[in-house]
Amino acid sequence: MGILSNPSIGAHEKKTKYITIINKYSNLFCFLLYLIGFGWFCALSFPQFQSNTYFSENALLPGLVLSELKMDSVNLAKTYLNELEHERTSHKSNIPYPWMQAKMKQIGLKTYIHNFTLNYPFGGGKRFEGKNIYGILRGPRIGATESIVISVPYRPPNTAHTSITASVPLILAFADFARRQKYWSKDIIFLVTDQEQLGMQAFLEAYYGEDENNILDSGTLYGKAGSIVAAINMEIQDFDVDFNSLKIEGLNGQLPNLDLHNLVVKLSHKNGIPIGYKTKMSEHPRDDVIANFFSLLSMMWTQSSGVPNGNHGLFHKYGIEALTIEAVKRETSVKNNNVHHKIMALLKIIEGISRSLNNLLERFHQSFFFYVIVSADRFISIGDYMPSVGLMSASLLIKSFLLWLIANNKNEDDEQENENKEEEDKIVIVRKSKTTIDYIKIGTIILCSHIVGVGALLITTNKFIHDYLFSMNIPTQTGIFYSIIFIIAVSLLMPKFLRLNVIDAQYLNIVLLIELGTMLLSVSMLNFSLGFFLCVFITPFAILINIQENSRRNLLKFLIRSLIHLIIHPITVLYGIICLLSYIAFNEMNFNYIVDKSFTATIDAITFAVVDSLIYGNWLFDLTFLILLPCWIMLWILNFSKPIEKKNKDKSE
Amino acid sequence: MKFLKILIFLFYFSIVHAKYHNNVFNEELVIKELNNNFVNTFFQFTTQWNYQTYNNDLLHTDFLSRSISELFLHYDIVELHITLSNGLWKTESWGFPIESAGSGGELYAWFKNHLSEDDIKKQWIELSEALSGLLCASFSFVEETNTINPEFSFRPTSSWNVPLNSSFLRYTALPREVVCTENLTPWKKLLPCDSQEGFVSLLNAQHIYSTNYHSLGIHVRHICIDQTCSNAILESKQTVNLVHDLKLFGGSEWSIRKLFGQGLNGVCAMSSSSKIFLDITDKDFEISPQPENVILSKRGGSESRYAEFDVRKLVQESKMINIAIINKKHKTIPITRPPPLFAKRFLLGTGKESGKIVNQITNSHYASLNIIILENIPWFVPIYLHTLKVKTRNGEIKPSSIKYIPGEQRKRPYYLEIALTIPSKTIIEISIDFDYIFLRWQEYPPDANHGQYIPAAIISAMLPMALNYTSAPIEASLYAESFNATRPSYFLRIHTEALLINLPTPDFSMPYNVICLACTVVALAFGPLHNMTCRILVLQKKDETKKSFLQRLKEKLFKKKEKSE
Repeated sequence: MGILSNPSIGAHEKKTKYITIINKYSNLFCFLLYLIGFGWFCALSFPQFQSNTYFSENALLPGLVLSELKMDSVNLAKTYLNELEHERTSHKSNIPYPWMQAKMKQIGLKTYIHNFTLNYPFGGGKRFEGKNIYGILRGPRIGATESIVISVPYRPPNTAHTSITASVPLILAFADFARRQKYWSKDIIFLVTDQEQLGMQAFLEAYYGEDENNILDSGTLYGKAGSIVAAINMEIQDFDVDFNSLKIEGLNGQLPNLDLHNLVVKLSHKNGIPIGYKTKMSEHPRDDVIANFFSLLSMMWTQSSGVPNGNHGLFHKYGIEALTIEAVKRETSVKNNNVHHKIMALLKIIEGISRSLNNLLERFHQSFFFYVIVSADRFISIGDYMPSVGLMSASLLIKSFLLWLIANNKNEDDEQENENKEEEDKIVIVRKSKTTIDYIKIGTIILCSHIVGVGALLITTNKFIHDYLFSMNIPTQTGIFYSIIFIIAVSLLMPKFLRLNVIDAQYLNIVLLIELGTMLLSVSMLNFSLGFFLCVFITPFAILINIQENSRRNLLKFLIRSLIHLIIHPITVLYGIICLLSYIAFNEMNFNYIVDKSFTATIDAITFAVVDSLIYGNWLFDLTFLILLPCWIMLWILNFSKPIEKKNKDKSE
Repeated sequence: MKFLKILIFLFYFSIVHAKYHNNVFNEELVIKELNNNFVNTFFQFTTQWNYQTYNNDLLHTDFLSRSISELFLHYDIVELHITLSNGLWKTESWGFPIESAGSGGELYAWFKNHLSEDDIKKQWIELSEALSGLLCASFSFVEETNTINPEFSFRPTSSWNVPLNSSFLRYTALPREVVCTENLTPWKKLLPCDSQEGFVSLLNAQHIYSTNYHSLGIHVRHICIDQTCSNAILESKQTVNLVHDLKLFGGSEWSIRKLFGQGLNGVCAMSSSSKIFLDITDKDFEISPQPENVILSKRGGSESRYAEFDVRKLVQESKMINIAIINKKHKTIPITRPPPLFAKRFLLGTGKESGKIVNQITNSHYASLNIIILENIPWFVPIYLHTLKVKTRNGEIKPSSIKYIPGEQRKRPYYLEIALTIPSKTIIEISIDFDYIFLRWQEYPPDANHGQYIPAAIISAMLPMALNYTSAPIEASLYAESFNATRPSYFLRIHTEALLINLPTPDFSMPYNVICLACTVVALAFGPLHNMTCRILVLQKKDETKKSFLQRLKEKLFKKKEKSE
């Protein structure tokens, strides 16, 4: 094992020989690693690399209990839907609280209303208010120590989202059924949230009492039900269900336990409603590698942004396993009047899930928490996908190590030449050369670039600055835009004040590579998709940095390099992605129009990222400003490093 | 012959008479409709035994179970309280319970004052082990690590000749305990009548364990008759508190047959009274059969009416007795007024670093109330007293007294008792911070990922009024004594819910071991790698001429000498 051997043994000549080889082939070697990593990922779309889903937790006993649902629950759901439709004509923009509260009380749930307030960060004290409504079914077999949540986002008639009116009647009909059963050993919280994810976030914050957040005043809950084991979020578009679609991606790319996912899939299948992943109705065949690949990518694309694609995503932060079942309605113009069996199937799915969760003695702890879904019944576990990211980010770490060896060797050579002249047979210490490397300057650069990142984060998220902007009558978007422009300007001007010579730049490069490599590895451990995409994008550029060739003489080369640097600036990349996405989405539009619109969309995206970071605790924005931007600044400074001749001249003078 | 018969009869009569005076057994059943379609049934079986007449021989028992009296003989107990309950009494919607119990098992006992500290320690453990066998409950888990002696919350209810202070009290709670048939059967055996006779016959496991809340209780105490306590009564109260959910029976009308699966088939022959009290305060329903007597009870400003059924008399009319509620006026959802005082308990905080235990106590009364909160927190949940905060909406309240004994890991639980005054119509939140800690791997219970329990907090108060108050006075032996029992104040004890806390739990499975192994390998590889990158490399010029072996040896020896010098 080379690693375990002592490196100090070995002849000097031999070492130099190695070094030259390393020097020559390091880039090639790293590129090779990168390609293997990428290839590994592509290979994951082959069915041989995927596993079939299976249950690890035996206590779930999925689908083993005999359903006790009767037709009256189905009729009740229909009645509730009619009543709700009627209520919706008079409640255009809010939840019909009196109706819902009355129904919950009639069913026999302990009903509470939860008020919350959003002090909008960019509004100068603008406030938005919302109200959740929830009812607790107290499990007769337990003393309010454990519970499960069945939640539904309520969308008023004037919403911009897809209507999901049928969800509330469905869970109320189930609540009525469940209230008459005596086997519940967990409390069930039936929660109807207002204002989409905001309501859910407020509920969870109030449940777990995070009072530091002064942007979202989460209010008080007067009824609680112990520790929440799992949560199911329902989005029923219509009772005439075409298929169920599962949404699992949560905040910061967290996923629910795979057992919960499997449970829902199994019960949906059992009750005759096809289940698809990502609103794809027809399951593609196992061997269709291309379809597998795109299915993989589509999940990873959603996961990578770290923005949850449903209310379930906010539970994960609190250690609660949760997912969303979206019942997609059949796209026909003919109204199907015979939807009884569909309602029954949906109710049975909820019943089955609740009873399985009711059986759980322990919290979800088996099965997988890190995985990528290929289709509803196949997945790739962390052990299988990590090597691809590992190889890619390892190429950066290995490169930094090789650079370290080369740099050391160079110093060694230099000094040896000097020393050889003076004293021939003296034992020399060669590790450090005090004269050549300006550690303080390198440190200053690392510190400064990170300070710019922290500063950028503070400027964009600081409340006082937002209030000031508001008092100056500057709209939020514009304010944030100018802050970003300012940050970009500062980062572009950095090399003017901090410049390195080539040898110091080499060391900065090593630090930069280590930082990037570590960041990529750790990010991909937490959010594989984000880590993977960052790896694919960053690694080639990071490998390609080559300082030796850096010289001002070749102006064209320098300009091209600077241009590439500008293109990979995080903000430019964001703009590029948005351009590309809008081009794919609206390809009939004029190109100039898209470019123009994308610009405003980028500013909007940044604003939303700030809001996400402030309210929900999404760390993508923080990651960009705390690590990616500083890394780019260091890269930019490296680009402007002074050639070595100049330094020698200085020395001689 | 006739004379002999008369003599025998007289003799028999005198024994029976003596028994009647020295051994009294009463059965009582209190039924009360709660809000939202729940019915509370409370059984109380009271045995009183004046053991003085048996020359203070506690082994010679009649009605009282010998296994109970033996406990008193062997462990020098003055008073013993055991409750085993499942579910939670929801004070907010159901009102005050007749008898409060924390979920799981709860046990406390007062020991005689001649015992030393060490004796009590020993007796307590032995007592809990005996009870564990007697009731098939896991009282054998009672140890020094979960026992406290609360100073304010508990007072002896016995009339013992010497006042006992808290150093003779031991209290423990086992919230993890699941109560089931195996506890009910031995509990029934402690009663003088067979389980087929009298009120006990209603207690079928199948029907009891489909209720929303059930609690078994055994409360035994000494009552001194004279000053020196040479003449004393041993009184045992066995109680069952049940809450039936009418929704499960499909309708709001109910009867004893519906609730218990069968009618009442008579009375226990040994009982001196067998009575059923049905609360009919503000209720508009008809009762079948008609009660012969309606008791109007005025107590501390509140009025309640009870229909009284003497089962001894009813039995003469029919073999099977069934009391039914019929023709209920169908009310829509009633607006319920919560009781003057109720509490909730929950955990706050995310992550596995630190959290907060919060007790939210509501005083909906128009006057301020003095309360005492008792916390018994296990050693593996280290709390910090300086973080104790009593908050209201308007600010903080200063507790009038705090008694705190910090816990010690693996030795002693955290004991905290707070006395304070809640202003009228206020919700207070008492919060205290704690840390999550790692346990040793053997200390995790089976099903480690289920979590660990923190016992309920106990809230004690002296209520100035008896609104919603249903408990019997402390000194009373029978429930019937609570009618018209106006007192200056009413002692109330309520339990909050227990808490389930998920301590950081290692993954007791194969991947965990793999990770450990992988980490070890990485740690092994780290050393040489670190060595390789950070070492000061020393280069030695190779000698042109090769030295002979002897020369090299000489050189080495020489060097060593140099070093030693």
